[in-house]
Amino acid sequence: MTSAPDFVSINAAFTKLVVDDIKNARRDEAVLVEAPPGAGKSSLTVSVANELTSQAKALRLPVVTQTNEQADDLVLSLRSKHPDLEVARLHGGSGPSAAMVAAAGPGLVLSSDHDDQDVKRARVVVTTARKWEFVRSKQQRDGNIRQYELALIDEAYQMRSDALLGIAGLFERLMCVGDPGQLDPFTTIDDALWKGLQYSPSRTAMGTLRAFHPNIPAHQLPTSWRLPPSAAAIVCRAFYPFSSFDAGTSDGQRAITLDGHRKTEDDDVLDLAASDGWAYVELPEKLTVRTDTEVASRLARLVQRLLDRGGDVVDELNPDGRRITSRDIAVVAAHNDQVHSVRYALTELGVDPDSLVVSTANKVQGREYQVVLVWHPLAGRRDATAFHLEAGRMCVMLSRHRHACVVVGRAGADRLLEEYPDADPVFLDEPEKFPDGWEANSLVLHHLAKFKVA
Amino acid sequence: MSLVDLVMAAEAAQSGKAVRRTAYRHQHIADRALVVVAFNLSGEAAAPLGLMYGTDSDPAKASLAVSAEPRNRESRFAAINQFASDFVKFLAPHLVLKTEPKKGGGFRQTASSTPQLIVPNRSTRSYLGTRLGRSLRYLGLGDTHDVPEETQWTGAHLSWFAEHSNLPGQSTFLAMTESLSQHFVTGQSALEDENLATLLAWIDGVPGDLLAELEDLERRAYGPVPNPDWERKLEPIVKAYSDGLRSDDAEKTRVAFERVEKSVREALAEAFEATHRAIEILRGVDPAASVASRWGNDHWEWSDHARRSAKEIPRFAKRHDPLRAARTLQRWSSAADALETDQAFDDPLIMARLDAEGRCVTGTVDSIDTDNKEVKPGNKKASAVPLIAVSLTAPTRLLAGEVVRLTLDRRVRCVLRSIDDSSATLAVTAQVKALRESGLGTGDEAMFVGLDPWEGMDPWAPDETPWTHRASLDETTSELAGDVDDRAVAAVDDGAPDMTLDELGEVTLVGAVGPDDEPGVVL
Repeated sequence: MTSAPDFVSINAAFTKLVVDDIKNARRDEAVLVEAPPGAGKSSLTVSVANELTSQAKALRLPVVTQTNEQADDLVLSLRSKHPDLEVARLHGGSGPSAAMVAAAGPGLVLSSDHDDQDVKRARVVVTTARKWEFVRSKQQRDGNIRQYELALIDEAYQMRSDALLGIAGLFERLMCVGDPGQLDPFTTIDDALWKGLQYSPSRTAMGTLRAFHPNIPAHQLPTSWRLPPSAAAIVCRAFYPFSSFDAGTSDGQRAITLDGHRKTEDDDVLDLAASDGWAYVELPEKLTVRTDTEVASRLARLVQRLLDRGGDVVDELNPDGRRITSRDIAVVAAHNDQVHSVRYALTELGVDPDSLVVSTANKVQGREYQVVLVWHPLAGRRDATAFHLEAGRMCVMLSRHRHACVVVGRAGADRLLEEYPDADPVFLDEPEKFPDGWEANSLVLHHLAKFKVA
Repeated sequence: MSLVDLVMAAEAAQSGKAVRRTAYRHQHIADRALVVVAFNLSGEAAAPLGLMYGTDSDPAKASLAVSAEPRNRESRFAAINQFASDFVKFLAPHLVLKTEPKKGGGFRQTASSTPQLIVPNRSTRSYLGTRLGRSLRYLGLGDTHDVPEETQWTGAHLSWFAEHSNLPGQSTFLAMTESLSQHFVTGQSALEDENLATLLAWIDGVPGDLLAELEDLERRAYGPVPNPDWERKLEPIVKAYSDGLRSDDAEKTRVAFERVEKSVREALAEAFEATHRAIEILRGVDPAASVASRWGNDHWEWSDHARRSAKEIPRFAKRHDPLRAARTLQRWSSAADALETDQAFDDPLIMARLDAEGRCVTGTVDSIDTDNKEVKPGNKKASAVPLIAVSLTAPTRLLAGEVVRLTLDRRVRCVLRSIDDSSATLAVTAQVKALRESGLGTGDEAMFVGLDPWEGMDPWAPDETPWTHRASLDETTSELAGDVDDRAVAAVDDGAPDMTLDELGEVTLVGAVGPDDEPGVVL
């Protein structure tokens, strides 16, 4: 039994749906695709881009990404699935990334100049929103805005409203793809001045777009190919209360088999995670500084033990199984200094922190791993701030894994939640944020309690 | 809060004395700043009980505008108009335009100087700017209460100060609690630091036990909300004043007014002196290197306001339109980035804080390979990329691939090529010449900081609102079918309250009507 045909047919069905909607869209209209974690967003973007350019021979398709890494990933994925498609990657003044230089060859144009003849010949032009803003700025300065018929915006829910304002004038129609459950874009500037405005520059771009154009068609991808059945239900319930999605695999289709036998308490954690998909390590209640060394070293020990034991993963992509390597493991924390203390703890144990991914939630958006270890954002805290309760952050942390997720926290987080009910100021006309971070965190804690290892 | 701040707060708590957070002052303090302290009547949005203001630190020389019954419009505006008239006089010389040559030919007009407003705390800043300024700036338009032109001007000026005060690094409108806590760490919480009286006690020290004194000091109110006990004692006098007005008893009114004035003067004089004390403390700290250029930017923005003011009273929309909102956020964001970098390079204590947070690479230079040449991505020819090898003397959390600047000379931009526990290699990717000029050599202590502000030109802001940020045209017309006049179209964008002008006219205005009428809203 394999789910590959399902993926292909769902992707094909959605590609057709979206391409038809785009064709029906009039000037100044948009089509929106919302996708839960690992739902094949990138595959859809790639196949829609291919479909549109092969149907209309004269079409030149701009693609807007939010970061340079996302632009690079998208170019690589376009190149591997549709090698005949001529792609241009516009880069900034400091040159293309190493990944792009390595991928350079016929069919891929690397240039910093939008008006370069080679770029003009490409069928798909990929770059960041920031770079598109410079393109618009230059055309505006020359008094000659040349609109594209259509553009694709990738990771649209990570885009801020002011970034969309800066580029929307270049495009007659938009297709936007994104995951509404992830971290919202933010600003460190006090935005009280613009609260309640639909076009507030600090809102999400999609929030603004949908407020002014409530009738744009929105599709929801129905399947998470990444999350195992053990995770899809809780992630959906806690972070996507208004949409529903299922895991693309069934129980038993994926398995982790760890070598060796129980020697330490860490093995109880790893064995539970391997069998049930979750494990929650609850350290004793304590108020700590943000870089709680006990949490850091526990995470490091779990990584070390996992690597020492080794094991096999079996899934729909590897029905015969393959060995777990350190590349399959990620440790995710809320803060940079926590990341640093995990890296330090790993080094102390003789594990090279660069051999796996240790990073913040913001930086692992869009990535996936076999096993993810999470530093619970409320561990050891005295208060629960909006930052630590943000649903998007928790959602990113708990939805990166294909097999198992281990959370390390401290007792008392449930009481902390009870003591800090949502007390953020309410602004007139400001839409309520969904899902509610407080509620999502409560649901998650409740769920984790079932997988507690003392 | 960073660990350094925690340590400083612990040190302050232990010694009972505030600790300097910075080595330098990061704000400009003008020679003749206008200090304003104010009390507002509790429960009202913008009904000043009293305003004390002046450029001299002696409260006896300060001006005082008092309203004995701020709920009465005549009384309220008597005080506001008096303040407005003096405020406009204070600003007048700063608004005079002068013509100066531009770089590269031509001339431009700028303001002859930049004014500075200083208030005791953040809430007074938002009271004076956002609340009072906003309540005055639409007067004189349409069927509003008739006020002298100075009052309308004051609404416009205060609105400019209010908006500009959001710009990171500005010095035109300072709140002393904010400025002092940027430069000193106390042993109390950030919330408690908002009380200027206790904040000053931490910095200046008190005779006797500080903690015991703080209890008492916390009761001092420096506005805009007065001390409730004090307000309770004032209440019968205010009532006597109103009774006097109603019964046409001029003598009773005069006596009551004088008593209110005396009480307000005493209470505000304390806040006025404390604010001047705060200024004096800050003046005693040497200014950081980039303060002048930020003050220059304040002057630039003030000049913009002065040029608008040269034509007519500048008008402010109720809300920003989409273009202005986006432009403003981007300008403030880049100002915040630039401020972070400037302060770090200006001030060793701030740089040390970044180092303690692991945001620096600190160590001894083992070697500098100036002969290394590399073909940079996108280039055909090889160019010089010196490699600096460093033995680390402090931990860092920076990772390979991150961009850092040399603290000796911020122009020198490097990429962290590799890093482990004890050593790091940095590739100099920009300003190789500046590296040579910095004189950095083998054996030197060097520090690189993980700050990399955007230094290029920003893109031009769009000149029209794109379709994504406005309702599509047919939706607009259907919503306003048969009512598409200019006013209604304007109302679509400006987030105005859901009332027509006629409805607004029917709302009872406090103070404009008889004493027995139902209270309504204050416009």
